[in-house]
Amino acid sequence: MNIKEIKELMEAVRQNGIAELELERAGVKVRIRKEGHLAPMGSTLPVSTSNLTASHPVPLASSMGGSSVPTPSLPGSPVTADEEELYVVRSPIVGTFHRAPNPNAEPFVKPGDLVEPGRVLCIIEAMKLMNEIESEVSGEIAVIYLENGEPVEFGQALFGIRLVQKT
Amino acid sequence: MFQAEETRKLDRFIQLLLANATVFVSGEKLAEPLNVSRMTICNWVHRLREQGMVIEIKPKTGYRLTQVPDLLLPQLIKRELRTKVLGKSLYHYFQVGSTNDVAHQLAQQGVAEGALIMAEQQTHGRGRLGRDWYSEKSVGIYLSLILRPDLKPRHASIINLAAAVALSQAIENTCALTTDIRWPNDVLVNNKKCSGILTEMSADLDQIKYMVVGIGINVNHPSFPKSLEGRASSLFLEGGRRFSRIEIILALLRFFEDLYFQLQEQGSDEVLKQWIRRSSFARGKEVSVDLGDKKIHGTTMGLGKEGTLRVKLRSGLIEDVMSGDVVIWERANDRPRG
Repeated sequence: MNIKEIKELMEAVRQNGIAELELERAGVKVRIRKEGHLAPMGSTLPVSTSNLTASHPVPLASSMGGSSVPTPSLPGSPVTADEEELYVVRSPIVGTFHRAPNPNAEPFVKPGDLVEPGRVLCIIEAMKLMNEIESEVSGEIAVIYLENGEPVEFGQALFGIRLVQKT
Repeated sequence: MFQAEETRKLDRFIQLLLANATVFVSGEKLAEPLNVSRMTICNWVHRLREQGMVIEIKPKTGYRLTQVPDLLLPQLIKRELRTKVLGKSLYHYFQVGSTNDVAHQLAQQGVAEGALIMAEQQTHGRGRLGRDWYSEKSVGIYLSLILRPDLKPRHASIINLAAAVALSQAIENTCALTTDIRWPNDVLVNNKKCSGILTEMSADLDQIKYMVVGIGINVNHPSFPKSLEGRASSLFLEGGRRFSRIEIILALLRFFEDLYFQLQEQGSDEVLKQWIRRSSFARGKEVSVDLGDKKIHGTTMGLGKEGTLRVKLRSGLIEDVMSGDVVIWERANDRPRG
């Protein structure tokens, strides 16, 4: 899935009045949500039910009034915002994306891998300058935006990392 | 194999021997400042003799160093060094996995720009993308420099071209051999690869944390393993005589430092100009380039502003090559040559 396709999806969501769309394809998971339909991104987590129903009426939960009983888990029920917000690692240079230290080796990271700051995620090569990209955060590799050997632009997204929830 | 701590002590032991060259020093006197046993000293002496150092042993008196082999000892290099930054601190090892790996560790510990790491032998000499670099003991130059340039990460690749220009200047000046540069950074003698440069960078979006420039030069190799025959060569094999590794290193540091300062103060123009002057690949060369996902074939048209190789395709399109292996296109058998 590339950026263009994601943009098309976003447009489709906007035009059809869809509140939320989740799509998984070839290991890439995208969730698009229309603003105003769910908890604002900056709210404290986890979002309590009463808080949610009061300020953002959700049709399925509206009958519950001010009850403090938690909403039963429903399809499409709100999920905590920091599951959605991925930390995006971007390329500091123009070059070629290498997922592994050499053609016969295992990739540095795979989706689902847990990484710590300092962990090497990939190499970007430009004119035989090898730039090891390290993680600056702790989290789980959620998305790898590029295929091995693909050209990379300056500032292009390389990885989406699902941050480890801080308690 | 030496452990790091033992290697450091061994280096200090050699310094002691050098400081007392031509006189006999007792094992006890050598052992005490290093906090090792006389037995260890005895073992080291035998090991160094195997490495080519001439050390006399006189029972009940001690040891005397009478001849220093061609080793890249910091004491010998410091005496002649005329640079301001490059080689400001020197690290010499008899054996390491790879000088680039050592340089990374030192850089992460905060070692200042200009640190030079040298080894007589590498057990895991590395090339690009996990390729091996053949590092025979004490006949080649295996070094790494730590740099912290005042450049944006996206402008850093030009350092690679600067290193190749400096290496070409150093070989021509000290060995009187003619060199060529294959884009971006292979220095060739008689069209054969006698050296390799592996530059690695640690950077975030807008700042270079550090760079490690690793340079391997085949200097006095008398031969190569079968697997490398025809592809690799040495200055000795191409020039017909042995060369001083120390002289080459001194020249390399001097030329590289000049270009390095120029690059940061005035931009990339001088590096590009020098590179074009020194490379037959810069203009009018029919090449094919393996870009990974596709192969292109065309004629070179100089360098782009950042040092990219401009290749004019048959269709007339000009491709700015950013990475990939460049080889000479041979029309006769319609097959690229190395």
